[in-house]
Amino acid sequence: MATVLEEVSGRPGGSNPSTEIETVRYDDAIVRLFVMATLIWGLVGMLVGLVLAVQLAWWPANGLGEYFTYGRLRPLHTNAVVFAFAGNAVFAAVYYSSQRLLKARMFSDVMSKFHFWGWQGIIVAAAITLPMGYTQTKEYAELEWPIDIVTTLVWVVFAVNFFLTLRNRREKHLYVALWFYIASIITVAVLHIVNNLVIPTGLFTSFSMYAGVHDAMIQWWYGHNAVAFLLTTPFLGLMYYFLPKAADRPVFSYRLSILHFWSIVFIYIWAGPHHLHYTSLPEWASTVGMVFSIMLWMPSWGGMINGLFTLRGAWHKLRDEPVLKFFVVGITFYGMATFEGPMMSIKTVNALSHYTDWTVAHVHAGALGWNGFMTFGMIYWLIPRLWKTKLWSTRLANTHFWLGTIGILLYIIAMYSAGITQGLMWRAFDETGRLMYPDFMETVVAIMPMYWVRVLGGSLYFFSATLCGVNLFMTARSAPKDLSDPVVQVARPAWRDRQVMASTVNYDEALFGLQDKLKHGWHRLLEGWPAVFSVLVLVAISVGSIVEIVPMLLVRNNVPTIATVMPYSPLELEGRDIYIKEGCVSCHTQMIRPLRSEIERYGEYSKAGEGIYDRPHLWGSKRTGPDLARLGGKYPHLWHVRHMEDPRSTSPSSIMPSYPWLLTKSLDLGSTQKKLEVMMMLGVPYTIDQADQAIDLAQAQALEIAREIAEQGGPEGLEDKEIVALIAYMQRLGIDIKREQPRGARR
Amino acid sequence: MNAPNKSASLPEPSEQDDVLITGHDYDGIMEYDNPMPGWWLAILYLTIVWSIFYVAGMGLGFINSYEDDLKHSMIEINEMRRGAVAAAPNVDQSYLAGLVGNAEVIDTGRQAYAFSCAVCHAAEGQGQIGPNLTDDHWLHGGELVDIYKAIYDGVPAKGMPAWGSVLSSAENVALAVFIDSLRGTEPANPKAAQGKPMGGD
Ligand code: HEC
Repeated sequence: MATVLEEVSGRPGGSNPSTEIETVRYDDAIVRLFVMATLIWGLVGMLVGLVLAVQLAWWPANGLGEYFTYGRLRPLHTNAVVFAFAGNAVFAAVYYSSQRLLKARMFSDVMSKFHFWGWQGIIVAAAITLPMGYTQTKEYAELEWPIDIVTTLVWVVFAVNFFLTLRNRREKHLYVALWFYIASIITVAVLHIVNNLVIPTGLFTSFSMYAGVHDAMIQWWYGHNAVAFLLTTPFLGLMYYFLPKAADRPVFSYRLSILHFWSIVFIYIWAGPHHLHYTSLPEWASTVGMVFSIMLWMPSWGGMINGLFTLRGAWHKLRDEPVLKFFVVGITFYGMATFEGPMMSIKTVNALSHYTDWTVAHVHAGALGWNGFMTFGMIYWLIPRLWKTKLWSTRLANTHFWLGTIGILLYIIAMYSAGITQGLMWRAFDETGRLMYPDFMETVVAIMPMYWVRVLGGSLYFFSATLCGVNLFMTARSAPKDLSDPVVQVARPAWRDRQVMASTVNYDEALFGLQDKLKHGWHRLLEGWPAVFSVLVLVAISVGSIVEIVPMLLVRNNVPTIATVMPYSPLELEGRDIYIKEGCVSCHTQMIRPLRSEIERYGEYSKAGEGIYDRPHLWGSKRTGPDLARLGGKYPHLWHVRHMEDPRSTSPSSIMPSYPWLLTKSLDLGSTQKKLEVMMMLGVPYTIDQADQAIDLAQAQALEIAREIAEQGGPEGLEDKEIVALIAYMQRLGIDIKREQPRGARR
Repeated sequence: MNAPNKSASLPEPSEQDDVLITGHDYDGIMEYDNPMPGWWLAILYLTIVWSIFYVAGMGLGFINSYEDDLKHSMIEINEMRRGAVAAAPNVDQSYLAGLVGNAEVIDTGRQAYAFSCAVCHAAEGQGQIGPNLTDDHWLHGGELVDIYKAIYDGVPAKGMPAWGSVLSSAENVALAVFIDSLRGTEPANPKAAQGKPMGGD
């Protein structure tokens, strides 16, 4: 093996190396907290996921009451695994590795603690508000505005703590792991703030600042890059620290690190629109999203290559080292998912995969394989170091690895098969030019066995993760009483005193000094300037964001207006909020694509101008049930009453949850007027009169719908129940463009 | 993959090639000065070149837009349909009348009815959300061909879906014949008569 001269921490070439020795105590207590939180929330998040899997395979599992139906729980699952499981894992990695890479304790223990407890508080708030139906509905940005504000605050404290630690560093140059942390911290802040701009209508309710196409565009710029900068870049940082540590091998290629870092940071931000192929997003934006996704393939693989090639000469260690096993499989899934992602962003592939379980498979290859296994690898490496004793059972860790791997494979194979099967069935035509499977439920029944295989795979993964919890618990129990902070002695680096010297050098000396610095390349120089480095990262992510979003918002012909499209009536607006509260969007899309099979099945494809009053948009991303964009007028009111009360009464094999409470819960019109006023503020053309009479207008429309239901032979007296508002909304969906003449605001 | 020191795809470390970079030592982690793999760089450049061509092709109209693709595929499907329509029998009053009493046809109709119609018109045609199909009153005409038309085109304004494109043409025909056969069966709990009596207009 190649050798290198051992160097003192600090920096080479200082003509008068400092002799001063400083003592650094790393804060490992905070890392222990984050590790424990990772495991606890991870198990909670996975358990909720398992419940959802069962609910889809066996609808009676929705029967736990209104707070626990599929639509309400799904955002809880995604938020728990993304922000609570992966989030806490990232923080554990950042706090452990940054201190050591910088040879400095975290800037402020108080800030670290505030960050930890603040973050856990946010998670608890999410776990309470989401089942209650308080949601912005935008995926991974569901939490309502008060929680968003707290999140911003906690993130800023984290960032300040991190950047001030950078300033206090005793290692001149930043290692690649830190580059990725910097990019993550900056970008997540930008994404979070821009996508969550809303106007509150109540303590936990709000309307998005953006409507329709704009809202969708910004949401998926956010959604895609939340995946990038919360689930990819910080995990690459994690990999760059913990993998070479665990393998005890140098990193394969520094030059590769540089190029793949900057290309990832620059390119990723452009790729969001590939979530909106064939929607009413203008095709130019969709095309930009596609080509940047293709260009993202190799930058992503740069990380995989640097990871796997670093293991050259260390493969034998895999046999008895569970940590490396987890890392190798994690990185392999990363490589798989980052090949598949660009592939799915190709429009024609996307036409098949979108809205199906193929996307679900893709996501879980990344989440369970890459994020999950990198996290578990890190945790197994950290446990003995943080608790200063041997891991309780290596065998149990190996069992975890194998069960987890089988679980992932079962899960994704089932979902690939379900997704492709259903996608093909949706588009199949028979020889007479008729849809082969016109009944949507046929395409659901066909994949039911796969939903059960997913339950099995998910259970295995969940069970295997509990083994990690047991291992941690047992190790911690036998830990020594004294878990005081580790202490290292570091020479005070000479470069810290440079400023003092600098004032005494003349111009020639300064120039010579710069030449000397540049002999290791410009990037090396940059690595010593965290502030400049961070600004450059901000520039890199801003380019794509601005080029895509600004023209979308400013250029009017991106959203051609349609004269007959009118604002929702007050009752319809309330119905829409019930639709949002119940999470119908997690099973139903409202976006018919310009594909013949969709036009055949659902009607004329959706136009950008139809969504201008949709705050937020409700396009959805998954069709567990049929698209509802043109539902208006398809069924009589009474059909909806029966269907919502018990979907099996109208669609015998339906897997949709029953919503009987909609027929008994009173409709709350308390904030209807306020809602209209906020909409007016956002530019929706209601009149002041309409806002003032909002309640009367709503009640009049409700009375009429209730009367029709009774006439059709349905139950009497529904006029003050939630169901009439929901029906008013559903009967409005997609009918405006069929109207000949524009008319005044409805009813 | 995890056999010791044996890996087909990954090169063994070679002491000559791998050069550690002096001065890169972060908490014990060092870095090699290896070049980026050639194939990696090559594919990276290739995707960039391809992207430029794709965007240019899109801009210049060499690549189909969504609307182009949709138009082509609709032409294709419409041709198939024209062929199917030409091959199908012309469904008129006399064609339908010829099938009345045909047990096989009625059976096909019964199955389609149970699957698609019973949720609204009730299991025995006595009516529920939709009107009673067993009495002598009809909202849209009670001749065989009227019934067929109501099934095939639906009455969207009243919530009756169009089944023409959902069910096969044989099923549409069979449904009309089956429903005609329900007349006067007098099931329990009938919905009150709606529309005009037969021959009343
Ligand atoms: C677990 C997924 C799921 C959820 C959540 C869900 N649905 Fe459904 N929905 C379905 C499925 C599957 C069907 C198709 C079978 C049927 O008609 O019930 C369906 C059908 C429908 C239909 C009939 C569409 C048509 O064109 O025939 C409507 C309307 C509907 N759902 C409304 C809602 C509303 C409103 C909500 C929220 C309160 C909701 N759904 C929540 C799965 C779901």
